Amino acid sequence: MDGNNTLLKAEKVSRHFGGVRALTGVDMHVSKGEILGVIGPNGAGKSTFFNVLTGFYPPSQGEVYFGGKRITGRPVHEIAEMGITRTFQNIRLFDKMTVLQNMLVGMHTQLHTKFHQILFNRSGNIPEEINGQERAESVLDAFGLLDTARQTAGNLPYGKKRRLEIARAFISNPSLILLDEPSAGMNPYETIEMMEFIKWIRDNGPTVIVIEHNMKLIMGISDRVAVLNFGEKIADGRPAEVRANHEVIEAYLGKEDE
Amino acid sequence: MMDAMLKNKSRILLLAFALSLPMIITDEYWIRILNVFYTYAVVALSINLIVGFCGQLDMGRSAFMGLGAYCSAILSVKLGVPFALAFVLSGVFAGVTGAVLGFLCRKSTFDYLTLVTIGFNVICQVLFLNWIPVTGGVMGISRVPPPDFFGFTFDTNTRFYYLALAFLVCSYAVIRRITKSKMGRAFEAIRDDSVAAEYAGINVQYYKILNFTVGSVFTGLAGSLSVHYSQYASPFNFTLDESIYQLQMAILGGLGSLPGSLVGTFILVVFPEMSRAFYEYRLLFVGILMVVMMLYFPNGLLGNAGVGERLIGVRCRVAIRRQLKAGERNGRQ
Amino acid sequence: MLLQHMINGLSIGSVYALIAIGYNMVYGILELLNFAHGDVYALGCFVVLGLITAGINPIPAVAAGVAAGYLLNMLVERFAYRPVRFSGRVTPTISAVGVAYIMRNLILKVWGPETYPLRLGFRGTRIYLGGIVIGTLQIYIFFAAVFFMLLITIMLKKTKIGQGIVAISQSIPTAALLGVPVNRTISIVYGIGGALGVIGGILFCMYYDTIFVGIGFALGTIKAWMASIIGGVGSLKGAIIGAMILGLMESLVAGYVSTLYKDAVIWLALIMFILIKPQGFFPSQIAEKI
Repeated sequence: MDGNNTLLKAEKVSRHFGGVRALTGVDMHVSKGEILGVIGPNGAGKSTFFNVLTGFYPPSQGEVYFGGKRITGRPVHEIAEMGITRTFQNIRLFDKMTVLQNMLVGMHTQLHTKFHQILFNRSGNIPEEINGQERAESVLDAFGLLDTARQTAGNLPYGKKRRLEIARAFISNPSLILLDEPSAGMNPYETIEMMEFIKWIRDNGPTVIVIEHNMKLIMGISDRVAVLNFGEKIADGRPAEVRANHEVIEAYLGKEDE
Repeated sequence: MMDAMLKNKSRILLLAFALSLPMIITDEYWIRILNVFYTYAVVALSINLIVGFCGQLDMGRSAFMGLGAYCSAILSVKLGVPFALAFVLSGVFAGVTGAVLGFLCRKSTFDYLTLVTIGFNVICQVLFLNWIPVTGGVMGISRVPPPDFFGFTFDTNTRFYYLALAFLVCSYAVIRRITKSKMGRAFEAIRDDSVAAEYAGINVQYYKILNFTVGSVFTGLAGSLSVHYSQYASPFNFTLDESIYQLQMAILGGLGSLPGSLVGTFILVVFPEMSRAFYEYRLLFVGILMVVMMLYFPNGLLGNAGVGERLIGVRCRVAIRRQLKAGERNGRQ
Repeated sequence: MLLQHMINGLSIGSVYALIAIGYNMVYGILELLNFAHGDVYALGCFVVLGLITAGINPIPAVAAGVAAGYLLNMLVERFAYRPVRFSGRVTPTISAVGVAYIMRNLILKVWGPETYPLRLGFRGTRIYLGGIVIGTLQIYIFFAAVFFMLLITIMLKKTKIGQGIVAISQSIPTAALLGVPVNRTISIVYGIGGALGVIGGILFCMYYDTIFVGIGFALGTIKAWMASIIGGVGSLKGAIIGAMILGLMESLVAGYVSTLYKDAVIWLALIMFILIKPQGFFPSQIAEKI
């Protein structure tokens, strides 16, 4: 663990809801430029972990550090502004807005239009807005979504919705992107495409943490893999090591997703 | 783009038409109706901003119209404040109240916010009716002076017409700019998915409060203008029923569509005047309208895939496509 | 005096409780502010009035009214709510508002805004205990409320339909997958809500010997909301206790503060309640999932 290269660190994070212990003493870190895969059976606490990392709720115990700074318990939008974005298990797009508008919202933290500008300049004349639009269009292009720019996001087919969600998380130049089951509901061909996207994303900026059920995807792209089971981390290491780990195999009991 | 130029041309035409109406219409009665329409149109726009663009279901909006109205009436009648100042202060008063209410409710769920707005409406109404030393109680406040700008008094229907129209045009322009800006997008994002909005870096609580405040400023200003027109502040104009009726103006035209608010207000203000039967049954009609619209045209008349688009839009688009295709063919030859 | 106010408060609270039970059962499932709850059963109450005025014996008249309330609420659900059940939050709420206005204006067109006497032939006597007066009617109302509360609670725990209702209130898709007849069950819930509402409404009218169009929204819908705020939405126990507390609050405020400002004070208290303890006294424990 190279201290200077650690981007995000979770220390003994626990989270319980009433009597349910969703997370217990989880230690995890991710280094800059890595792709970290997080796997575990259903209900292992993976999404809960993301929620704690991003501030949706604070941990019951433990701390989270980002770039050396303590971010435990900070509100979501502050953490987003610091450079952590995410996607969701059940896609969360702004359904009634256009694809382009979704991207512009994604850039909310990067655009600094002032109120008097809104009042006195047509949005076509505000330089921030123009630049924002251009950047949005170029990112959409990179994700193969440019032709849908003016469509309503809610009308997109499933695969494009997933891509849009990731594109929206990507456009604000985050240091860290958390992807929550990005290949859910995809066929093998789309899954391979998704793997390429994730690698492309990492190569073009942010560090990536991915939650996945699809073993092929995780083992195929992750530099490191962490395994959660019943809210505890039971393994953490290179994909090959983890795959051979007894506890991990037991946790899945051979229910490997092909 | 052809689209934008067409829109601008039609806007200018519409404005010219509106400006010329007082010279065409001879019956003062209809000028009065239009004056009321213009004032309520701004209320509908503010409701659209709050409910349609940000998804905050406010069912007690008329309370804010009342706050603006009474504030203006009290300032001008009891304190001799000139209209221009009273007008502005009423907007500020309504806005600040909106900010306070918005702040208190910043963490409230959708339903609780609605309940709070209803409760606030009831509280305001009770105050309007019973706080006699301040609001005049059941008798209200009378002899509110007509609007007055640097000596020029808008004391006839026709004069007020131009003031009201100017007020509507300015309010529309400002609200439109807001909806097309980063602020407007933040509002819409909150409406569509407040969790995702938060994750995009939007301080949802702050923007909800901002939305409520800005909307309330416009509602308050409209209230002020209306009371200087009728020259009388009555507690019976700001009831829960009124709030629902105003809400329906925004819904009918289509939440999220600014021109829709104009259309919806027009229909609900003018139709009751045109037909006695409509007037008597207007609440029943509004009720039926609400149910039918939610079932079949949830986006209103001018919203996305709304009644308008379905009836007119499809034909227009087909026609335009045919034109373009014909143009292409000619071009190739 | 205090004790008298409290007794009156509990009486009216019992009426509120009946109405709140029906309301909460529905809200617990669909999480929609059923704007039309009161106005629909008000129509049922007016049906009773109409029948009694036409000379029909009170008991069958009330039974008919209760049945009317049951049917009416079912029909409203079937035609105005079910089609928009999954269309977000604003749309179904507005539809309910529309239904409320339709019901209310139907009553207005047929019976007008006047207050009518409602005589069901039950006078009841007064019991004098120390310095306080208790009407036998009040006692009957209280026990009627308790009776129905128990009935509903037992139904929810012991009957198949009741379990279906509980299942639906936690997750409609899961319940459907488990074989719960969702649409039918929801219909029944609305029906029960309507029936209980009519019963509560009639009891209220008996208490004050009058009936008017306002008993729907002001009494049913708003009081049910208030009771839910205090007791916590979606909780039957909460609805009942919330209703009782509401009745007490109203009685005390009317007695000690002012009858003019009663509504405003109550709403103010409730708004503060919403802001301080939005989950009510008996909140549900389920965390939001994203």
